[in-house]
Amino acid sequence: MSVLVALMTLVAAGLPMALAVDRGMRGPALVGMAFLYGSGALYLIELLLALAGLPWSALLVTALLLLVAAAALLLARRGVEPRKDPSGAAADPAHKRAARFVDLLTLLVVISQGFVATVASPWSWDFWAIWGLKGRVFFEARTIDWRFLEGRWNDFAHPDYPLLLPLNYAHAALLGGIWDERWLGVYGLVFGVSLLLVVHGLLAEECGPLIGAVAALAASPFALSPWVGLADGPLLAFAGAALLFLRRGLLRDDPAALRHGALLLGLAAGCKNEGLALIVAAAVAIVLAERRRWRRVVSLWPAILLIAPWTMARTLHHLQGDTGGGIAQLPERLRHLPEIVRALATTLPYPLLWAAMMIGLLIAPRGARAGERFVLMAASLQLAFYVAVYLVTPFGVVWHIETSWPRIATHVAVPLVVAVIAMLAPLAAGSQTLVHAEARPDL
Amino acid sequence: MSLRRLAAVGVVLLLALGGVDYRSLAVPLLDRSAIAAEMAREPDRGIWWPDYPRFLQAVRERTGPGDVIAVVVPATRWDYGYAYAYYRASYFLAGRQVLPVTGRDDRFLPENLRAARYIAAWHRPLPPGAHVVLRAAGGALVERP
Repeated sequence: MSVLVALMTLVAAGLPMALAVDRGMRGPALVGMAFLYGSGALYLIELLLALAGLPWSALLVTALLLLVAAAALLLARRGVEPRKDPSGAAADPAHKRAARFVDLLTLLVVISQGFVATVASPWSWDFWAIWGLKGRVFFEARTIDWRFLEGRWNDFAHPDYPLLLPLNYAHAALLGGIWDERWLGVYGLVFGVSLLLVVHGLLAEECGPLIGAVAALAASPFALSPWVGLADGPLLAFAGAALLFLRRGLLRDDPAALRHGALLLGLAAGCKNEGLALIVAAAVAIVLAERRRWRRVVSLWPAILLIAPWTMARTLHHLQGDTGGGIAQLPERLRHLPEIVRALATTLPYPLLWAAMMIGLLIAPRGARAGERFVLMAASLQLAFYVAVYLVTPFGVVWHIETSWPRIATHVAVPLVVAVIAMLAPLAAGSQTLVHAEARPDL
Repeated sequence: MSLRRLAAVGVVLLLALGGVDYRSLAVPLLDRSAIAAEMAREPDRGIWWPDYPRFLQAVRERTGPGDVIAVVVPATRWDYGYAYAYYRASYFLAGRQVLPVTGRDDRFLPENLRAARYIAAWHRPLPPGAHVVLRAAGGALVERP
């Protein structure tokens, strides 16, 4: 029950926040963004309270969350008037009917995944040794227990990892007054559904309701993370939404979309360290993809602001990571590159879908492919970062790949799926999308 | 319809439908009690289930926030069971300070035993005269003087 109350509180608080960023936002994407912003705001509130030395209570945290929501509501009311839907003409009724059928299938997928994710308390090692453990420790302490994170015997819990998910878990426990992990698996599901709502909303506005529905269904295997209780689900939700909004912002010169993208990037970095890498990947991709307008990279500044508190705290408390310690082994690793590539290939999740995406990239019209340069570059860079980490891992490289690649390879899959569908949908329908019809001359 | 357009339709359909786990769509209709029991056991496979988590829960109920507790179990090598026992104890005993008695190099750590107020000993013999404050699920909680 406390999990349900927590989630509803976050959605309610997040709605005005999403509107403050973009007063014109409507529909499924707004609901998805509401939860993402609500969970992100909660994380920042609890983090800042901990840094200020103030203990958490259900009342204090909820009051601050509502205060932030109220401030956002004031901002939203003073914002610019909503934009008209640029797609113009109403969707074909047959397409709308087909879209509802596809949405029904997606709903069935979500429901079945919900039953799987909550069949028992989260069971994986990483839940009770990292994410759930921290949530529980911090709930018991009613703050971030810096002594626990600094403890020499607690490095197994990866004290350098950002805390968005554990602080959300602690929030549910605060509301219930007791730690109970039984229903915490719902969080991953809700993060996934939020991303699907964003995908649906953005693609429906761009290509029509049927393509929006198809894109959400296609994204569902990746968005609905099977890693119950872990932070990969939240990360890929924030990361996927961030890249999709940045894509829209760059393609349409939409400042609100760029704001969303930057904020979501910062919150992705609040989930896992891979989110930090994504900020770099996105920044480099903007510079390379936008050549004549590379200064748009400055629009990512909110992401830097959002990562500052945790980055400072980590430095102050000397919370170290464990990657990169094997850099001396790089020459040796490079000699075993075929073995590493084989391990990456054999543990890649949904290989058929990745193959379909590659084929889609090859057959897409050149102009459409050029229009998706940002997403393709950002995703490729992020995956390259992951491979680079494997090459310098202090652990056995094949072991490290087998125990992490099936999870992390999905982090950027959703924006790639969406980009491929956006490229191919007009070709499949024998028409031209709005976004690519508006493609700038430099494409 | 051109070949390229046909391929585009095929790829979009494959992306949309190729990742759906059709077997899992039936999960809401199935009796999930067996799989629920299986997943509840998942963190504590082998010799640890069901007693070790029950023992840890009993230790939690007998101790308080801030108590320092050393964990002693049959496994004495870090990568061969002790790490699991220590991490699991850290979860159940969140809010207490949990100390290992075996290091990552499998070295015995008597200093952690001396630093602890309590010793949570599961399926381990106790020294004579140990002040046992709790017995549960194959283990004993010893309070050090």
